[in-house]
Amino acid sequence: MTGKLILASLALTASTFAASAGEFSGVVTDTMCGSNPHTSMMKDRTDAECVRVCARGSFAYALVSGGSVMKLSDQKRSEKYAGQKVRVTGTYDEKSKTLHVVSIAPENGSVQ
Amino acid sequence: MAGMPGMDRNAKSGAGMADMNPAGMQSMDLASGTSQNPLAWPMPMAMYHHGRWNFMFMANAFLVETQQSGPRGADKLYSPNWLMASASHRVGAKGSFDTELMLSLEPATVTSRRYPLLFQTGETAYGQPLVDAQHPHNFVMGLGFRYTHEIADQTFVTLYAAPVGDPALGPTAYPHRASAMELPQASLSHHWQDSTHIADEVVTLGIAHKQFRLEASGFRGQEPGEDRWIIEGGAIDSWSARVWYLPSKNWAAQFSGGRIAQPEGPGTGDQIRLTSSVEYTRPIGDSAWSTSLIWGRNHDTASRHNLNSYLIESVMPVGAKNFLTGRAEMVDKDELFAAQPAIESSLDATAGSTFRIGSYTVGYTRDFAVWEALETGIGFNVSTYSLPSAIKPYYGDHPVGGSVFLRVRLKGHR
Repeated sequence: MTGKLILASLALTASTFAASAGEFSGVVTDTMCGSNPHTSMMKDRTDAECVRVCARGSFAYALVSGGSVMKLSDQKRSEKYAGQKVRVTGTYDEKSKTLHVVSIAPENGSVQ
Repeated sequence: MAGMPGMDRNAKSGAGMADMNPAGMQSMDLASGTSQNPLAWPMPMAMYHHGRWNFMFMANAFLVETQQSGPRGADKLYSPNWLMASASHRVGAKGSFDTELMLSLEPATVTSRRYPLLFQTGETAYGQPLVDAQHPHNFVMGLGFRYTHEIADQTFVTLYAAPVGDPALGPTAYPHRASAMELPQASLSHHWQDSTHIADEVVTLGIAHKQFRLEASGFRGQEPGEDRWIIEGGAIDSWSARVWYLPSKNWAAQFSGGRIAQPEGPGTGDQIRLTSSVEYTRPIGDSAWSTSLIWGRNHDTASRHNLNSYLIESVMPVGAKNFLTGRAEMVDKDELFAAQPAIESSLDATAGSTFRIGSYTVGYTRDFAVWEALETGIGFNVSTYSLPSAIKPYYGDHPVGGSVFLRVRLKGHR
């Protein structure tokens, strides 16, 4: 836990003009569906199934937060939360549209 | 921060995809035919949907001025180019149908049926074997139909039928290969590794389960004729099989083999081809660092020659707008004097009939935005060669080739 907090601090310190650090709340989706409803993409699948099918292919896990879609840097940890509401601590890089994850946790859950 | 551009799938038409299923996603990630780049490669593909149909477009065009040194070098302005379009539609909950069309204007933009490429061999122009030159592609580079069905979780069966298409033989062909995107010219290994990507009468059956895919194809082995504007036909006389292994999204590896019936025309020998390749892609920003390592071997049943080829190529983005690229090859060539029988027989008596050629290319491309939907860049590359002493009188001691080019590519939505 302490190590992760140090990493978070380093990430904050290293942030540039193009990066914004902090805590982000949203739903784990994929770069294919983005902020659009998964039912439009795969009618007979749950949101989590749709996200996992897209991310298993050439798309990636992402966080949709307030209409914005940010690719998540840690794809392995993100898989666990497909379709779920989460809280992510990290640094957002506008240029690559990637949220560099320091920690990820379900809303009201413990930090991973 | 903005959402994904134009991804409103609540609309009847628009950018992005809609109404897909896992079979459709599986099919969408393929390159030409059933070949495959690493999944992590951000394919430069524009996606749209209309009603329940999804459409995908890719396009790449180069305008190249090339100049080469030595007695057999040549200069030329030419344009390699292609456009690929596909349309897909789900079939029930488990199936997906899609069709792909690939067109090239090279029959018009590569004049005199060739562009200069030192030590390149394969196919003919005006009835003579092409030597030190690369043939243009046909107007219809691909026309195929695929049906993919999910038979169990992460297990898919695919049937691919193509009047012109890419059978299960070889790595992803160079026009589609992630690592070759900034190199306008063909590889010298093309006819050892991926030349069947424009074969006629292709039928492929494949099964994929998680990271593995096994495929078998039947196709017509003869290489395209010189009338590049038509689709040729003929009996299926050749076969191939390929296994893919994709251990992660960054890697794609294949091993394949096949027998190609008389690729150089009636009365010539068959080729037994084996290939193996490993491709790696690591996304960097909006682009990716991609590298391929490929081996291809032809056994000619008429000459009984066993000819090997080895290729490594890479493209690396540096910042948002710069690309460094390179390709190194070693290829055993036995047709360099096919159009000069007297020299060929003289060399055969003194130095043999097969010559191992090394080719080493480095290049650079700089993107500049011209239009939002296009990635436009200017670039250059330089090739040097290693060759046996016996053929230096015909090529010079240190032949060199150089190209400058303008590249225009359709920009992807992701």
